[in-house]
Amino acid sequence: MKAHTIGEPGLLRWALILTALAFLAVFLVLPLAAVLAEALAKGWDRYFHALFKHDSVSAIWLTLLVAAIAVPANMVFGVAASWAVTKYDFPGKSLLVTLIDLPFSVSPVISGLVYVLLFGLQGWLGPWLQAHDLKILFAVPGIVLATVFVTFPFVARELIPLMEEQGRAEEEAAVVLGAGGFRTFWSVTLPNIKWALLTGVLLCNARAMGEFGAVSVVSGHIRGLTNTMPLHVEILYNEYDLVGAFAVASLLAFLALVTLAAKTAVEWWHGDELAATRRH
Amino acid sequence: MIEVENLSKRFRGFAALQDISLSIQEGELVALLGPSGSGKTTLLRILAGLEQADSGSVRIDGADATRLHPRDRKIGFVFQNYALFRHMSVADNIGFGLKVRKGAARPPKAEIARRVESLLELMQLDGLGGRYPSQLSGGQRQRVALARALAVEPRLLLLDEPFGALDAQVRKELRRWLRKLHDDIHITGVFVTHDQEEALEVADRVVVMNKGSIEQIGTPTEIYDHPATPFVYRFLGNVNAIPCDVRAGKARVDGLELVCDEPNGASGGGVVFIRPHDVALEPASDSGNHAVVRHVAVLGAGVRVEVVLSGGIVLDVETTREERDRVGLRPGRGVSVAARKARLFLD
Amino acid sequence: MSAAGGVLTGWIARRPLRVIPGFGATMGLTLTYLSLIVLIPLAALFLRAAGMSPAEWWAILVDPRVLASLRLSFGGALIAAIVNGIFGLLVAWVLVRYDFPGRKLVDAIVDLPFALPTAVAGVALTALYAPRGWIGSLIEPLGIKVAFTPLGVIVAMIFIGVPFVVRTVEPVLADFDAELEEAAATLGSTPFETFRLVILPAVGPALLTGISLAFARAVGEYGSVIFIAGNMPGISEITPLLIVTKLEQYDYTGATVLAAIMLIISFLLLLGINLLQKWRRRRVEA
Repeated sequence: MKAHTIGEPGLLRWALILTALAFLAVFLVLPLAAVLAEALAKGWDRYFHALFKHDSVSAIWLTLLVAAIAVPANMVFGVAASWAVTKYDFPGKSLLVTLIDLPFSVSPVISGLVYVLLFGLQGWLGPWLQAHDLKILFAVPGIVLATVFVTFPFVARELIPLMEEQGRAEEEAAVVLGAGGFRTFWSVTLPNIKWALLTGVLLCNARAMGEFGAVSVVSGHIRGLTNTMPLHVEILYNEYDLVGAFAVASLLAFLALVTLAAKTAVEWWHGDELAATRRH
Repeated sequence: MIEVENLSKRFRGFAALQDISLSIQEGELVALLGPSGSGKTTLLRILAGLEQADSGSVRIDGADATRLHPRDRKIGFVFQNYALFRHMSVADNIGFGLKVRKGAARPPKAEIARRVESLLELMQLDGLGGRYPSQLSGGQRQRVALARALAVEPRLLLLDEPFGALDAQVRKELRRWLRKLHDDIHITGVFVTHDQEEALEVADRVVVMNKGSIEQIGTPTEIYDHPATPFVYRFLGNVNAIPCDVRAGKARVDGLELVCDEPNGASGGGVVFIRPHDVALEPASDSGNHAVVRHVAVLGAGVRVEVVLSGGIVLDVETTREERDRVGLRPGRGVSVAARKARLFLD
Repeated sequence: MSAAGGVLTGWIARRPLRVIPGFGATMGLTLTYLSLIVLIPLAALFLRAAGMSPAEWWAILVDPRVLASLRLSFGGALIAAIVNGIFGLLVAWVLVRYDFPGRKLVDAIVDLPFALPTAVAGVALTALYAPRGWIGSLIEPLGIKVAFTPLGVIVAMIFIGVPFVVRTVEPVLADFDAELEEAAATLGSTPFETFRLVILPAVGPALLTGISLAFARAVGEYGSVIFIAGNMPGISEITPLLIVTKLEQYDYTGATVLAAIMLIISFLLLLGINLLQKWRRRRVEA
C-alpha cells in the first residue's frame, strides 16, 4: 500500500470510502445475509429438517460426485495446457489460449445447449445413443459433461500468467543438468506453482458445485436423481418451500465463503507466488 | 575442443548470427564480448543446445553436436539470473544433477552429499547448504549456480553474463575468483559479457562480436594493442576517433600531422584512432603541433586532460601527475601535441 | 527426386528441437481434451445453425419476443456494466489508496459474486427486493418496483459484474506511480484535475476492459437473473431464458439460432477485449 501524502482532503476520502462501502453492502453483503435470514426464518429445527430430507441429501451427493469428477479432470488438463502454452513457442498459441478461455465467456445456457444438440433425441448422436440404450442427457453423465465444459478454463487461467512470469530458465537448467520431463515438472515446476494451482482448483470447485444454467438445460430436473444442489434450490423455491430452498442455498453460500476465505488466505500468505495480476 | 562452422540464425527477420566460425581449445577460458544485440548470448545458447541455429554446425570433441540435446552434451550452464531452483535448498540445488541420473550412473546418497560438501567448500559457501536461494546474497547465489553446474563434472562450462546482476565491488572479487578457479581446475569455459574490463582481465582469448558477426578474436593484449576494426577500437578502452584527410600516406588533421602505417600511399577520407595515453604533451614550442589545454581533471592516480587543437578538435589525454607538473598543464596553457601511436582506418 | 528428398530431409532435420521435454504429450492431451469437450460440441451448434436458410434466420430474428429479449439482455447488461464501471472504479480507488479498518476484509468480499453460485444469488436478490423484502419494503412506498421487472434484471447484472471492474482496475491503480501525481501537484494541479487529467487516462484502458468483461458476463447470465426477472415475454424475459424455453418446446432450430447470435456477439466482444489489452500494453510500453 503506497502512502499518498498528497491528494484528496480527509473529508472527501471518508465520503468516498463510505460510498464504496455502502455500494458493496447493498449489492454484496445484504444478499448473503438475506440467505441466512430466510433459511432460519422458521427456526433451527425446520432448517435442519429441510437439509436432511431425502431429496436434499441426494442433491448434495450428486453435487459432490460431479465436482469429484470435473475438478480433477480439469486440473490435469489445466496443468497440461499451461505447460504446453508457457514452455514452448509454436504458431497458433494465441488462438489456443483464446479457445481455452472460450467457455468462460459463453452463456451457461449455451454451454448446456451444445450438449443437447449433440446428445439429444434430435441431436447428432441422439439416435445412436437411444439404439444402445445409453443415457447422457437427463442423466448424470450429461451433468458431468456440462460442468466440465463450464469449469474448463479455471485452472489454466490461474497457471498460465504465473508460469509466463516465472519463465523457462529453471526448467532449462534442470534439463541441462540431465533431468527428464516428468522429473523437471515434479521437482522444479510444481513447487513453484502449487499455490496458484490450489487457487485454481478452489475456484474450479466452487463453480463446479454451483453451476446452474448449463446443468439446468441438460438435467431434466428429475428429483432425487438428476438434481444438483443449485437445481434443487430452484425446485424448492418454485414450490414456495422457502425455508427448504434457502436452507440448501445456505449450504452453497457457506461453500462460497469457505472458498473465498481459502483463496484470500493463499493470496495473503503466498501472494508472491501468484501471478502479478492476482496480488492485491 | 569446440569447432563452430558457418553458424547463422535469424529471429523473426532480424539476423542474430551471421556466418560465425570459431574454434575453442581445451582448457581455454574464452570471452564472448560485445554490446547487446551482438549475438553473443545467442551463440552461447547454441553451443549449449538451448537454441538451434538455422544453418552451420557445432562439433564438440570431434563429434557433431549440432542436433544434440543439451542434456547429452555434458556441459554446465550458468544462467544470467542464476535460475536456482527456488524451492530447493542450496545443497539440493547443487546435488540436483547427480540425483537425476538414472540407474548405475547415479551415485549413492552419501557420495552425493560428499561431493556437495566439497563443492560448497570450493565455492566458499561453507555452512550454507541448508539455506534457500532467497536467503543468499547475489554473489552467493552466483557461486551456487556455478557449483551446481560443476557438480556433474561437465567437459565444458558456459556462463551467460555471470556477473551482470552484481555490485561493482562483488563483480571485481568474483572475476578474480573465477580466474583462479579456472587456473585450479582447468575446465574449458566460455562466458558472455558486455564489460570489456571483465573480458580483458579474466579471459585467455576474447571474441569481440558486433551485430551478429565476429569483429576480432585474440588474446586480451592483441585486441587491445592491435584492434582490427574501428568497432573494436571504440569498444575497448577509451579512444580519440578523429575524422581526417589522407594524402599519400599522411593523415592530415587540422593542426596535427601524422604519418600512418598505410604503406601504399592511399588517399581519401578516414578516421584516425589515438588512445588517450598515446598522446604526448610537451611545453609549447615553435615546431610541433600547437594546442591549448581546456580542462584538467585529477582522477585518483591519473590525470585526464582535454586539449583543443588549432582546428577546433578536442583530444582526450590520459597522463600522470608527474607529467602534469613537469609540463605545467592547466587550463589556458599552450602545449605541443604528438601521437606516439596512431591507427588509420580508411572509409 | 533426390532434390525433393534433400529438401524433405532438410525440413525434417530442421524441425525445432525442443529443449524442455513433454511437448508432444501435453499438446496432445490439451488438443484432445479441448476438441472433445469444447470444439466438437460447439461445431455441432454452428453446423446446425449454418444449415438453416437465411429466411429462417430472419424469421427468428424479427420475432418481437426475440427482439425484446435481446434488447433486455444486451441493453440491461450495458447499463449494469456502466454502473459497475463507476462504482467499481470507486471501490478499487478506495481499496488501493486508502487504509481503513477492515480494508482487507472488504477486499476479500469483492470476489463474492465470483464464488457464489448463481442460483443462490438469484433467490437471495429476489428475497431482498420483493415487496416484503428488506430493500423492497423500503422502496415500494416510493413507487419503485425492482423485483419481477427489468430493473430487477439490471440489479442482478450489477451484482455479478462487481468483481470484474474492481479486479481489472486494482492492479493498474496500485502500480500507478505516485511521483506522477506529485509532479502534477508541483505544477499547480488540484486533486480533481490530477484525477481527471493524469490518473483517469492511465486507468482508462483497464477500466474499459473491466466494463467489457462485466458486460460480456452479464449478457449471458442466467441463474442470478431468472428469479428476480419476472420472465414475462416481451417485457422482462432475457435471451438465455428464451433459449431454454425454446428447448423445452423442442424448437431446437430457434434455440440454435438464438444461441449462435449470442455466440457471435460474445466472440466479437472477446476479440475486442483482447485487442484492447494489446492496445493498452502497447501504449504503456511506448
